[in-house]
Amino acid sequence: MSIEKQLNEAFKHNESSLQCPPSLDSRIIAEYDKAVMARRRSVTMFKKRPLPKVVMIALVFVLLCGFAYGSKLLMSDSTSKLSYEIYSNKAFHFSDETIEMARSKLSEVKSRLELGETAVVYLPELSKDYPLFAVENPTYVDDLQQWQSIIAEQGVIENVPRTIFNGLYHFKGGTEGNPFYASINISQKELIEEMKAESKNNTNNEPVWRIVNDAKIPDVSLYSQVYQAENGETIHLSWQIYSDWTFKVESYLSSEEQYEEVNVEGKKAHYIKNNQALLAKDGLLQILTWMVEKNGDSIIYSLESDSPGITKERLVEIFKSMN
Amino acid sequence: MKNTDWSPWLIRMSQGDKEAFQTIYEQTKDHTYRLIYYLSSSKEDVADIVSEVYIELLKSAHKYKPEQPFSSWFNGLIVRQVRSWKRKNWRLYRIVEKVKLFTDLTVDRRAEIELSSVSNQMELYPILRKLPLKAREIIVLKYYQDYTFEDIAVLLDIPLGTVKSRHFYALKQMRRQFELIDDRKESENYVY
Repeated sequence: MSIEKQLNEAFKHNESSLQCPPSLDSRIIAEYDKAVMARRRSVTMFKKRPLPKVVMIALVFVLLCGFAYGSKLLMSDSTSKLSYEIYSNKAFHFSDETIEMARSKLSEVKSRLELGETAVVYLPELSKDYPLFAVENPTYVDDLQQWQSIIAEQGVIENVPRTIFNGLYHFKGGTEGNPFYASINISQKELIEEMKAESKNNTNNEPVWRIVNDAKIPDVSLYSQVYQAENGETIHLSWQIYSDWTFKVESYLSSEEQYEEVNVEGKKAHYIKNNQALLAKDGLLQILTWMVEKNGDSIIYSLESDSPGITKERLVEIFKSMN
Repeated sequence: MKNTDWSPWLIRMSQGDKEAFQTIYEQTKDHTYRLIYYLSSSKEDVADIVSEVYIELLKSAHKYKPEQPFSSWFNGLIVRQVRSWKRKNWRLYRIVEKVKLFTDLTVDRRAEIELSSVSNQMELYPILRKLPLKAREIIVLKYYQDYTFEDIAVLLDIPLGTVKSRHFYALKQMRRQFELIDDRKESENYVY
């Protein structure tokens, strides 16, 4: 039998046995309802946007396929709505020179942005297939009450502390997003082609970049508050709030990054030390993360710092003081 | 998929009429599911892409022109969603994160189990999956949807010659895979 005939018959043969599982129906209908609601909300709220755009600092979302390949599971944690896994992957190891070059391009682009603007920078030295990295020039709200009311208007009931760690660190400002990683949600294929072509004609090694608009990630609320001590050390308290839906979050560390699970009086947290952070001041970023389920939301809390004087022990002490 | 005039349903659906959406969904879901199953690189992604397709249908319904066959238009939308699926899995580099949206993990797991029991019965799928997406699209549209090369060229917006060369390449690859399976089966029958 010719292969063409075999194919025809195989497809026909499978037709009756391959049907949409009934278990999907409720999910699809729920997503339709949600999309319709979101559309209505965006129409009614368009005219009364509560605030000037409060933007996150430099976040770096990359779009990489096949991350899972070669990855080693370091930890797995979950709440009823959120499953959180951390893997290490050798694919994310770069030479110091490569990282420095990327950091300097990001920093240069950032310096050219107006307050509140976001850009993507073409960095093929970090990933040939998915070379777009985001950087932002964030707007911080430095008045605590104003910031608290801003997030309250967005439905966030978290209390923003005036100080943390027994008054050692004071609130300096709050912003949407996170200064050290994350968030653009744009279709990248065409943009990559365009920037690749521009990069080929770029002989003086200038960064290739574009301003992007409305690239916020749907369905996840990200906020960050910065606290400063008198000696200038800073700690960022950030929240990733997951509501309405069930999420699976997979984090991939380079094999060079240090990961450790921390248990304090029966409470679990995850410590990460990254010496190649693209958007941290000197490339060093320490993070202590834990998960909480509150009022039906799943929240990932993080204490983050790029101050060299901060130690893991200090982050753990702050975590203790907050729990 | 029935040869119906879908325009009124699509208009009602995009105005938020849930009943209209359910009607469209019921009429198209098996076809959508199968087409995505054949086109996607990973069976684990099928349920997610089906969901993306219906959200995209809601967004794009106003672009449908009644003079064109709904099935071709809808198939084009499905093909584009499968292609862009990986692009939409945004991930974070810091650490790098990807966040995947599930309405209900239990439901998804159940769907996966159902899917794997079906796929175990099929020899076609693993062979199909070994093809690059561009070649797979041609095979699925030609032999599952019975499209002509000309139809496929229009739907994928590529030259007819490209369709034919991808088809030639795809058949060659599949032939080789089928032969390997036959050889394996024969060798399993040997008694030493």
